[in-house]
Amino acid sequence: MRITENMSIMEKLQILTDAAKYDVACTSSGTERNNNGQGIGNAMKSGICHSFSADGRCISLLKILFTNECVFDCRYCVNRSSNDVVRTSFTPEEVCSLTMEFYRRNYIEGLFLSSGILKNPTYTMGLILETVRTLREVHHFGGYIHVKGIPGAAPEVIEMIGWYVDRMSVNLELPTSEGLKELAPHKTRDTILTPMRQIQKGIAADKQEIQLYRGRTKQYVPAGQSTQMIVGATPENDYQIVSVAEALYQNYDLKRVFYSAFVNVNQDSSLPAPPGGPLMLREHRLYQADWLLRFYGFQAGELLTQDRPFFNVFLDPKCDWAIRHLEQFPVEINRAPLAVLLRVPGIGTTSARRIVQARKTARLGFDDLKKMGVVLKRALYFITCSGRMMFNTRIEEDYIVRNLVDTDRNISHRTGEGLTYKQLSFFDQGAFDELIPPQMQQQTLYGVVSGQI
Amino acid sequence: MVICCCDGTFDGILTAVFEAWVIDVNTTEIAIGTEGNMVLFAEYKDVVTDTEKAARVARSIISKISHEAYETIYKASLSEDPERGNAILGFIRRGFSIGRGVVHDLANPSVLKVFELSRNTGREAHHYLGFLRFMKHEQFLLAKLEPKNDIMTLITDHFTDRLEQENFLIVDMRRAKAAVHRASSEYFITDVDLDFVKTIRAVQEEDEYRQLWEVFENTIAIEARVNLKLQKQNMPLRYRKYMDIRN
Repeated sequence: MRITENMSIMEKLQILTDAAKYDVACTSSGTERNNNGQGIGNAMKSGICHSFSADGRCISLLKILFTNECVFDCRYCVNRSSNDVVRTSFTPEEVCSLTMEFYRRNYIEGLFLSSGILKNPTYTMGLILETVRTLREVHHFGGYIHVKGIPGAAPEVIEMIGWYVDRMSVNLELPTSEGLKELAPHKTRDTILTPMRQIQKGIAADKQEIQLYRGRTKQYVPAGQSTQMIVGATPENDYQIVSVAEALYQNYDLKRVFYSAFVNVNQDSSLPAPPGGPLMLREHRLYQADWLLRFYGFQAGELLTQDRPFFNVFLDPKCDWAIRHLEQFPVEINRAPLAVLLRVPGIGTTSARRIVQARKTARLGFDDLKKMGVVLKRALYFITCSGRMMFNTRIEEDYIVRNLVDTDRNISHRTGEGLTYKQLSFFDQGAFDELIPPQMQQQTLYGVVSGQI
Repeated sequence: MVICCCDGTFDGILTAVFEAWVIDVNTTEIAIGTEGNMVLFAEYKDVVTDTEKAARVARSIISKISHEAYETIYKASLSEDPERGNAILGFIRRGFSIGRGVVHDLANPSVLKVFELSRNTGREAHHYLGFLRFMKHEQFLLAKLEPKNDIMTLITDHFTDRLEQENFLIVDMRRAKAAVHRASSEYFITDVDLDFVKTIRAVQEEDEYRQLWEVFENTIAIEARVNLKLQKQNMPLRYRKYMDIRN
């Protein structure tokens, strides 16, 4: 471990930004407040994207590590103690100046502060506490602060930090405890879930207090909790991951779960190195399923099961569900309840809401739907307007699937070279054999091959 | 048929609506400015912006339709579309007929058009909340922008609250308008002359924090996931002119 003295702030920033980039949490949403009257800063409920990086992701916060020194040795992490990299730390004052000056110039909404573990979790969180306390009380910073909770830190520190930040998150890292034990032996399910539970309880208690005492200026973690799981470093299937996410939303009141496609930064032989690069399509499907859980009223068990634990390569989870439940379609636009409209492929939350509002004053036709943002190319197989379907389509699996897959052009850039889309014949199983190795193939009811991707 | 020509500002359009109502709202149209194609057999009437008349129309919109409709009309008026006058007129007619439900009645073409204009303006304003960049210049912070729509009024409130303790100047380089804010006081928006715009255009910033920010922006991307097409989709090139950081 090389520790360099007297590094310039630019060098430190370079190293500690590079070390923080695999933590994909990026939102600045969830809180709303006005200027506190003493220092610059306010917060917008929707969050604001200030820039986009070369990988296309939003830059909303100054995302840095406090230090990249670390006593843990998690195998997937670029900062693990057995890696020979240059190690450095910020001082709390340096973090404060960077945050304040970037914020003043409207480069950021706020600060995202994570850290490697210096000495022990509680000591490190103490340094973070010092930083956010200075930012709030000395500089009177009113913008957004997101802090990572370190597994194993003492509850007192977690408690104190929560009053200064908008969001606190603890990374689950891996969906099962076996995976965690194998790749990150210093972290256990217990050390991760305990602070999550503590934060959840703190938020709930604070919400009750707000109702009793108005006009309070301090809130406990007002933007809620989130977490992150690495996808593809261990052999868990999609069903396991989605079930864990559902349990977290239900039992820990999380606002978001982030999924990060595994990037093999350490060239570690025990970790997979997929030839096409990180598993972008799989990560994409997980986010689609996550949205279905949170905004469309789906349950994990409706999307995947033990017998069918992987997502369909060619169809998104919503279309996939619709195809398997064709008996529920077609749905009449002018009558169906909102929950039913939300299940139609091509109708999103905004379009569904608009339909429900617009049909109060007018009878809706297919032209109107198009204007409201419904993707008719998908939806037309599943809806009627005043009893008529758009074209005389057959409500039949193969026909619909073939047409739906045709319209989804998003697949190619996410799968890289390994998977090309050819004109499909769904009765020709052999067409896919050379693309997906046999041990990962899995037949579905209607013959479309889905597999671990 | 009568065509009322107004100057395209919010007050101007509402004045034209007032005049159109007085004449005969069913056969009157509103045009912006004096350019564009002349229509045969139409009588052209110049409308001078009258804030009293505009205020009367505004009050009746708020009371007879809704405040939401008023805001939607305001945002739509800030856009550059030459048909916005007519769309707003149609929206108001529909609104007086069915009341506050008009904002959801997207089956009506005028309502849909006003809704779309308002949304486009709102979206651009929201983008600029993020993409606007301030630089430290003398005693204040300076920001420049060249928006398609006239969004100055939509963004200045936000920065006045956020940077309440700072002096700042936001300059719309296209329309020669500037928002001026002195620390801990109100802001005002004023027209400026072209010399001023030229001076502002020449102001550059050489500040260590801008360089630090460049380091940050270039380092934060995950190399294995580089996707410039996605980056361009999320952050169109037209916003990047005054962001200075693009390579």
